[in-house]
Amino acid sequence: MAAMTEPIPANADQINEDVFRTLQPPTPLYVLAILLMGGITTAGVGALAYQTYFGMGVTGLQHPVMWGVYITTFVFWVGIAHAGTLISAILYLFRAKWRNAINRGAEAMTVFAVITAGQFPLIHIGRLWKFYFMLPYPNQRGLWVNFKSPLMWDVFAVGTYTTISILFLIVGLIPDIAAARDRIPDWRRHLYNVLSFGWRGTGEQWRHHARAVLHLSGLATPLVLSVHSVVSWDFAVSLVPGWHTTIFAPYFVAGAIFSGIAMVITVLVPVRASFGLHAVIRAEHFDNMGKFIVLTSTIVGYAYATEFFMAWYSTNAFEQAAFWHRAFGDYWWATWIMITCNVIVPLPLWIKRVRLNVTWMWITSIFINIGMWFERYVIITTGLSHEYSPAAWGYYTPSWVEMTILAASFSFFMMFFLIFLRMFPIVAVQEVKETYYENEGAR
Amino acid sequence: MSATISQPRSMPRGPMLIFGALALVGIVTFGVGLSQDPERAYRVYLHNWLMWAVLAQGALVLSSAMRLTNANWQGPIHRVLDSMGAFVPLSLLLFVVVWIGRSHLFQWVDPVWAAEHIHGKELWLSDPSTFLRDVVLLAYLAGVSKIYLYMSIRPTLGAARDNPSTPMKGMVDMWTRGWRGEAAERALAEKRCRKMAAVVALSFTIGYSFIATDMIMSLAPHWISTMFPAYFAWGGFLSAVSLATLILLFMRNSDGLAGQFTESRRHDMGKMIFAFSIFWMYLFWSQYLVIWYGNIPEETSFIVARLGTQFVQDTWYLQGFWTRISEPYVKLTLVTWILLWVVPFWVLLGQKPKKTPIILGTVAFGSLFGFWIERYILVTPSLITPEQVLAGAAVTPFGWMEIGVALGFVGLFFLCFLAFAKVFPGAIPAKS
Repeated sequence: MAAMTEPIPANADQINEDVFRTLQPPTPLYVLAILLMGGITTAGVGALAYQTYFGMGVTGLQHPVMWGVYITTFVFWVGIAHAGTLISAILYLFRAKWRNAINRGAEAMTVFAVITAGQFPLIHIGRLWKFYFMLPYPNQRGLWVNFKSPLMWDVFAVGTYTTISILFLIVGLIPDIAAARDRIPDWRRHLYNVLSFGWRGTGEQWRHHARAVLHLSGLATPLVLSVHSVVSWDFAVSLVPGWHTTIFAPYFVAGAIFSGIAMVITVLVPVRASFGLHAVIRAEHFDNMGKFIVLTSTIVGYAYATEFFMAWYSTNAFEQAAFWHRAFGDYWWATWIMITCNVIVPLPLWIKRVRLNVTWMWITSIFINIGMWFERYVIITTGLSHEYSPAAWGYYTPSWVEMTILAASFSFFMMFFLIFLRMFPIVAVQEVKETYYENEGAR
Repeated sequence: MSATISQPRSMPRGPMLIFGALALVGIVTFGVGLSQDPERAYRVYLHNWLMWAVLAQGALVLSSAMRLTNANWQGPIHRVLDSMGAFVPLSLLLFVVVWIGRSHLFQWVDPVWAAEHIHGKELWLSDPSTFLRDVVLLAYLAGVSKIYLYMSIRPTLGAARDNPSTPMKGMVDMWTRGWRGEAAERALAEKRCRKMAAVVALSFTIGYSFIATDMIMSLAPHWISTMFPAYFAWGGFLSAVSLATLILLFMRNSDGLAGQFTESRRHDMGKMIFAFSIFWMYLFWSQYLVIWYGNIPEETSFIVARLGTQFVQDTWYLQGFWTRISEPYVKLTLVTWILLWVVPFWVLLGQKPKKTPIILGTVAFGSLFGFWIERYILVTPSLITPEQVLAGAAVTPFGWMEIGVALGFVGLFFLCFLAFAKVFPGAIPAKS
């Protein structure tokens, strides 16, 4: 089996060597990837400029579907951002040692996902320059934000989450940056000098570092639940059939963790393959992430089933019509993509052999990413396109502008991830070595 | 585990007598109650049945969860949880009484009423089919639980198998057919239980979602909430954690457990009550907020019946606060909220209280008692509405019938617990 033939690190130096290999001068393939991602991102910026100049009419958004690809993509990326905190904070508190090979990658991914997500409400409001209207501060315009609006809660939830994810990433990086500082002779040395905050590795510094991580974890744990709950209430507190349902908060949180873990797998498998990190990021890590996928996929499936059942059980004509429309109406294809990718495709992961098969896990994770994007698309567009009055039903088709910006969100995310990969150690070296020495002692 | 304690033991006489007496009190109370006021008797019965059935199954889910997550700190804890699961088959049997009392509990068993008031739901809520479905589900759950318990207990039966004077030798022999030797059995049990644990957890969620819909939500047949089934099942799980903590604390000096429920394990159980009660609060809040904000009468009715009009206002009017808080059931509901979240959260926030038996035990008991009231609050206001209470209908959670039947369930639950520990002596472990 794959796990048995996996190399284990020969010694602690090899861990250093393996991880710091990612900081070596870039290969042509890497440069090509950066250029490609940069190109797509530029196209997205162009599309945004076009939209900003000509107005929101260039999107497919029109009555009755006023929320479309942008909000879908916003929710998608906020969801992706959940894996980082789950792995860094919750698994840390649970003393799940396996997390330390993947937590840095997940934390970095989280930060870039939140940054990607945060742009979409701005893109969606059209007049980008008015975004600061959402910030509550006494102003001469005499404006005050509406705290009763869940959209306002979102500003705070996502803002808090961004802050703590960045803190997590930076605090975790300090000892590793110090290690890189002593190892990398080129211009990056100066950057590392600043970002290692004078780290010398004294006992006192380690003690403070450990306390900081512990307290950050305690503070971040409730955020894993709260952020996506608040996002779910953007929909659930309204009266739109298919949106107004009490299970939304835990269901969205489970979905967010589901998609986040999938994205961790999606980005880490190529990294592992191209830098030969097999001894550090091992099949057992994929096995454990696979278990999370199985659990969250089951919760998501349970929520789908409950929603359909309750819609029928409610005997509420609007609710029933909304769910009939969801499964068999205009958007049936999106719904069935969602159910297939999120519930059926992960089923083989109940088997351990499959979870240990990294290629299979990678392919599954891509399907889950697609499925989870469609989940939000289904909820948002089917809900709005088919509300109470048949006279106000409509069909939404995204325009090329929206699709370009959607593609650019992926390339933007990947671009930053690739840059991070070259600049900082992608694996938490100190933590991996700590576990290595603990196991060494046990051996 | 040493061989000596795997030998069969006699049932502890004192506890047996006490719990036997409690069970008797319960049966007598229920009998007298039936003759005086059957509606109240069945209502009280349903409330207690729900509490203990979901708790016993929840205990097995916790045991499964520990296996699934490779919780290496658990030590003797899952043995106590397995013994708590011994009530599961009895809960299936006791469900028959709910069926007998159906016409006193569920309006929809009357097809004429159903056709008039909840047309469209008859397919789901009707006399034989709803109960038949639930019995099948409960029987399935009992079957799954039995297989899980068998797999989990089997390796502890080695000594009993070799001892010809073991009581219930026939059963022990049956459960140890094809014995492979203790070490091999243990390894096999770990592997098998791990697989079965997933089935137990999944079956619990699905099974008790249906029970919550059919036996609680249908008491207020117009009300729906997609969260409610999961909320109820989670409550069952958390109540099992609380009771397990309480049992472990009580038995921490008994010969099987002495020295096992260490400070660090108390800390871990305390963390579980702490974390899970936060999650309970989260589920409650997520359900409440959506209903409050949506403000649809058919949804808010359920909240109004329990929390009064105070908590569904569009904004916070302090004038008249005490009047609104004195509406029927409101204070009682707030007590459950305090016992299930406020106290566990604030008291167990630090490390010391989690490790101190008297504090941890008090919080665990409070949480358990809180769940008893919470289940009462889920059932009763649907059957005796606040309007009826204001019109003079007598209702109290602490009447003789309520307390008597509750004691009866406590007695039956612990008789099962002790009997299981007797037949399967390794179930309550000794020092390792």
